[in-house]
Amino acid sequence: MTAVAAPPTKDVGRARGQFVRHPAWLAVPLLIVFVLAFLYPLLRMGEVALLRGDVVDNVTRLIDTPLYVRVLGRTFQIALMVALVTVALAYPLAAFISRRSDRVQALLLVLLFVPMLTSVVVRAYSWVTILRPNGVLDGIANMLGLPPLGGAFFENEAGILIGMVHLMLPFAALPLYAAFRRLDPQLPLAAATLGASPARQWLRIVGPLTLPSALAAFVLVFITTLGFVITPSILGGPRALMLGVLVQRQMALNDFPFAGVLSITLLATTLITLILLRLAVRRFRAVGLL
Amino acid sequence: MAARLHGVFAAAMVVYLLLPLAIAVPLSLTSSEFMTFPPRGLSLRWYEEFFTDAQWTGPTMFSLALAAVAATLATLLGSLAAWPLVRRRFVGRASLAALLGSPIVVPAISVAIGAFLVWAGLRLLGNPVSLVATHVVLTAPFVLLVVGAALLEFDADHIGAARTLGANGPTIARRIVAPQILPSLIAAWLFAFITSLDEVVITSFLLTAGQVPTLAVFIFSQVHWSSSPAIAASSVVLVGIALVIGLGIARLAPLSISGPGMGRPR
Repeated sequence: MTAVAAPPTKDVGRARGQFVRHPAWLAVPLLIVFVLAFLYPLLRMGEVALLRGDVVDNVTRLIDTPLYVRVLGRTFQIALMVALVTVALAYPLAAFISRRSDRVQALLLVLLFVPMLTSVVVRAYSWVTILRPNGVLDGIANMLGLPPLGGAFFENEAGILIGMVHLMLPFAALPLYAAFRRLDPQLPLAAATLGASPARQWLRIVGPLTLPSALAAFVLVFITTLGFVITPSILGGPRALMLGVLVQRQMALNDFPFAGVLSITLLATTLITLILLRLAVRRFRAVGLL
Repeated sequence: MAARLHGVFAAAMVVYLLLPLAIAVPLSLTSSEFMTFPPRGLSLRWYEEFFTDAQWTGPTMFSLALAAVAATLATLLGSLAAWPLVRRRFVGRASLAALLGSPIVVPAISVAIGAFLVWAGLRLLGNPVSLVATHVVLTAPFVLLVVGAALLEFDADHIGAARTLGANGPTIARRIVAPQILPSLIAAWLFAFITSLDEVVITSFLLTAGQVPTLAVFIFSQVHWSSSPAIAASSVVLVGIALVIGLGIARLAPLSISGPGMGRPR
């Protein structure tokens, strides 16, 4: 990093009295709403967790109760699995879409986009109707003369995985598609002309140019899943409790200090993951990727 | 061979993505009291219930009104804020951008705890003010992304020309900037509308016990104990809304679809 500041523009360093003439004040109305309905609530949550309740007590309760430790471990594990599976599916899907004709690309993008905009509650509930005992899956098995699954993918980790990957797939595939589109198609072609095998083309050209986007997608899916409530609560049931659902339950029990401690754990993990991503991206940049 | 496998894989992914959206259609058309597959009997009675029974129409109208007001405010305030964020440099610009974008990464459940305590303290639980303010916060990041991208490409010479001709700030915003970025403004509104319509985590804690809930909160509350095909009928209607809005955004602001962080589920 050099010490050279951004080039000054005519707005920097103006007298404070002229603030109203400065276009930055246009952001003030939205900023007020954010302070009132976002920043202040977050601070209030921190205050209740750290000052109102007995923090030491609540943290001890968190690490000494096997149930809560299991919930933390499971949440981490599921978030990792969802992120891995989502990116593993989204990456080849995005590559496939980026190589179609313009018309087919537009169609496939809409097919990704509409599920993404469809209500999360509706999608989770649809998976319930499909996966539950005597649900759609069992109905189809019955029609084919196969034994019923009887909810093998319902109210457990597998159910959460199926529902969460469904939510995250378009969310990860769309930015990855954009990364494949930014890739100059001449580059792999040139490499092929020079005798590079498809594997080598990917290793030396396509891979390095798309992996930073894949890493960003992985991290976004991971942190989103960590704090997710609706889908784990509907598809995971009481046997596969996740952190976000646990926070919601503690709130329903009016135990706000403990819900706050759990929530700070969640926020800290999210923040640390994001910082690690930034460091990784900086590393990528340093070696000439990205 | 590899290309064919790739095609089969993509087709399987499309089926996986669309199956839960499509499955509600046969389930909702049943004439029986429960959702069964294959459905027994053909009937529109559950759509009739969804469109006429106050148990459903109340939450639906409430959700549509809340989403419309929140989306309008988010688009208005978000577009105003997008201008200096995109076009100017000032002290604190990066921090402001980070704050206004952070609802995309901060878990909603973490906001829910504080939001409940703050609005309860102000005696505004269940009040439209707390609901609208919360939904503006959750939808504004998407407005900033869509409108910001449009403003980035806006030709600044138009503003200089208008100013030379004597137009003031509000006139320029209304007569010069807004008409040129209108497709993005509408796309941003649609994005905000559908995001608000779907919010459950924070909203469920801001509603009071006897109050008519939003549609998403109502469906969420039904999931564990009701198997009424009316839920499938409401799902079909919501998928239909997503389809219309998706096609609208794809037409108006196609690039916004693949922007990073867009449409993050919550």
